[in-house]
Amino acid sequence: MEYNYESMLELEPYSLGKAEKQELLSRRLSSLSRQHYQTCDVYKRIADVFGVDWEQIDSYYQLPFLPVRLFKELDLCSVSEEEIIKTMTSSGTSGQRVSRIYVDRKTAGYQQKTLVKIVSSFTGKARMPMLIIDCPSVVKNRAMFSARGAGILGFSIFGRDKMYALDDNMQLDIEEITAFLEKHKGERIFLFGFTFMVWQHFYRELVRLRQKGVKLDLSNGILIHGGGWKKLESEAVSPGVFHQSLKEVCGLDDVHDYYGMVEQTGCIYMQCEYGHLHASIFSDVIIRRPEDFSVCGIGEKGVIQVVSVIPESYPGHSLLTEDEGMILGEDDCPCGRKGKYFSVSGRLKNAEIRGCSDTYAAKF
Amino acid sequence: MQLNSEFLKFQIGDEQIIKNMSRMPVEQPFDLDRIAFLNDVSKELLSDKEAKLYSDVVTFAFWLRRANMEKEKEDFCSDEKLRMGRGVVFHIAPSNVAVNYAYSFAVSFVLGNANIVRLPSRAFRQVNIINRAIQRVLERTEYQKWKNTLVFLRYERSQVITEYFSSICDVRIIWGGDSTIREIRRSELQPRAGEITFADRYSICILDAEEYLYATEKDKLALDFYNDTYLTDQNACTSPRLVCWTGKQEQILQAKEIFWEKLWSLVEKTYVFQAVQFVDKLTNICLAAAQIEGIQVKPMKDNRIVRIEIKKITPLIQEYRGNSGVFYEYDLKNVMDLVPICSGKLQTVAVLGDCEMVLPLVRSGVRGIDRVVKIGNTMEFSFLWDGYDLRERLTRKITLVGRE
Repeated sequence: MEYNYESMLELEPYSLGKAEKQELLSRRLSSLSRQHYQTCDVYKRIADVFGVDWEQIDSYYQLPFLPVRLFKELDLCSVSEEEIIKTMTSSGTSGQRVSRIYVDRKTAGYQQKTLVKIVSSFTGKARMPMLIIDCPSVVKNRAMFSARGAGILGFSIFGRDKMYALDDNMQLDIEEITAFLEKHKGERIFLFGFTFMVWQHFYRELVRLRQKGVKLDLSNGILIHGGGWKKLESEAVSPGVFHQSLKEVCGLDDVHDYYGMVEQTGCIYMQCEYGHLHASIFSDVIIRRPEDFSVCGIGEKGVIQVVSVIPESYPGHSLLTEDEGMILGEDDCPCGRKGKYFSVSGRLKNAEIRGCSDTYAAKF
Repeated sequence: MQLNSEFLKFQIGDEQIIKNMSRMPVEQPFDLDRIAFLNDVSKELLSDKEAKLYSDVVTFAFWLRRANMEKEKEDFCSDEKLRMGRGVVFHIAPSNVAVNYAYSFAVSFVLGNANIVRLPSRAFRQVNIINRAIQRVLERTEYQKWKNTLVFLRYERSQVITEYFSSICDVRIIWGGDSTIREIRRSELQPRAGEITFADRYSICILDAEEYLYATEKDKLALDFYNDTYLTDQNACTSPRLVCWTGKQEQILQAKEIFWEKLWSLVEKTYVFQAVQFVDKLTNICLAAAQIEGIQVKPMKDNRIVRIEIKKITPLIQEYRGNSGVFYEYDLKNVMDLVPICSGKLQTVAVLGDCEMVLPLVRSGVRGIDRVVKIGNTMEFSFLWDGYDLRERLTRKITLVGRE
């Protein structure tokens, strides 16, 4: 039975308790799985190799999950080529393989509508003047969306009178920003950027400018940032330090990290006022024990599986990430939002396995 | 060509030794003093408390013993031909195997050569233990004469350095993989110099169900198989990636059940996984599923052992091979079924049962299969390796009128 996604969009994103949400997700995700089984040959082959018996599945916890790296190795698509309106890619450094995500009109629409539902529950419905902490060139090539470009365009719907804070040389344009803030004095300002960009090219520059007596006031701003902490970890910048530092340098206090990935665009996990990442009714996280993929208890660290009700044009509705994390609780976060809340502790450590393979050449 | 020593990290020897090395005399293979030297290194290792913690070091120490070398000598020198070492041998060890370099060195040393050994880049405890023993023995009065023929070192990212060593050596030994070999080959050798390359290889095993069911020491067999596979993360060239069963159907079924259960208990107890290895194994299964027809994952109690049943032998199982315990499994009716994977890539066939059963396959003219060994012995080093006789490759045979 096909579950109607449009009707899910009528619901508030953090309004369902455990039992209701399980019921809803199980129906939608089972139907999505069967749909991909019929329309994506690779998905079917994988399910068959594991001997998946669809009749036996009554919860989305039992559905197969694909390792997220598969999108770097294989073309996974559930619609015909003509239906694809954009191919999204993960941001990888040159030479690295990137994920390729095939999106049709319907899935693209779901992505945007879902993102709006989730984010506006934090920001409110009104569009705000938007300061993008990135450079304009990152979104120029619309045919090949990088994760950064897609993120910026996706979040742009929450803004009006958008301005890029950086030029294409990654320099902060402080005069323009000052004028922009002057123009929108008294309004709430929406800031968006990738965590590392915000730190490196925004925060650091503001610290430098302050020494010269230039100071921005963003105490009425709201910052949403994502993309992970890997680069900042190596500089020993924790989420707490990040938030505190921004508050000190420009008064910015309404700061929300989010967890998400290009393979499940639309379903992001927003950080609440208590610093917890939250699963909305459109998605969920399941923490699994690596040795047997059984489900971890609350507070137990494991590998993060993510499910999303969105993807119809590619089989990305149930994925095993390479991130580690733990569930902090369910339905009882002091912020009042229902659903699971969790933390992400970072990437799984690379294994240095033995053997006579080619680690030498990679370093040559 | 100049050598910039700034980037060389010497463990044994120094720059001056390298510069003079090509002028050092070569010696006869299996010279008694050289055998004695290795025997003393062996003793040194076997009395080292720390060495005992590493089974690969202990195995190496046993291999170095006088009795073993004399056996090799007898076998090799029985024709009374005059042989001498070739000169300077430049060894490039794999970065992620601990003791390979030591075998490479010992073989070349006992055959009468001078040696420049590029050590594994990864910091293995085993390397320190072995080098320490060699260094100590080398300091003894009777062995100091070889100080000028021995350099162990590390260096990073330098084609210039590889070029220099390649230009002064008489034989270059590259312990692969394939892309390492391609890289190193950009550095030219002298016209008369030789090269031995150990490329990426693939290995399998054949287990006879009846033999297994009758075997009394099933725990020992589990350990043997573990040593062939998990001990090197199932990622050595010698690690079986395909498990073939021979015998009657009901015996095979029975044998499989006991075999994998015993292996599981051992792996569960002994092998330390990192979480990402399990994710890698899942990825491996999915990639195989996407590319190979008619395969099936056997449900297991957890992810420690992954078994993928195949109905037909295809070269794709080499391409989509996994490690850390990913086994393709096949019921073998006829040994000739294996022809599709017997390309030059196939190195070792480990056997439980009669090794002779592989002969028709070898004789059929396939390019692969250099070693047929008992299970548990895939890692056992020998002067015959990868189809080369290292004794021939690392010595010169001298024509002497009157002795023909």
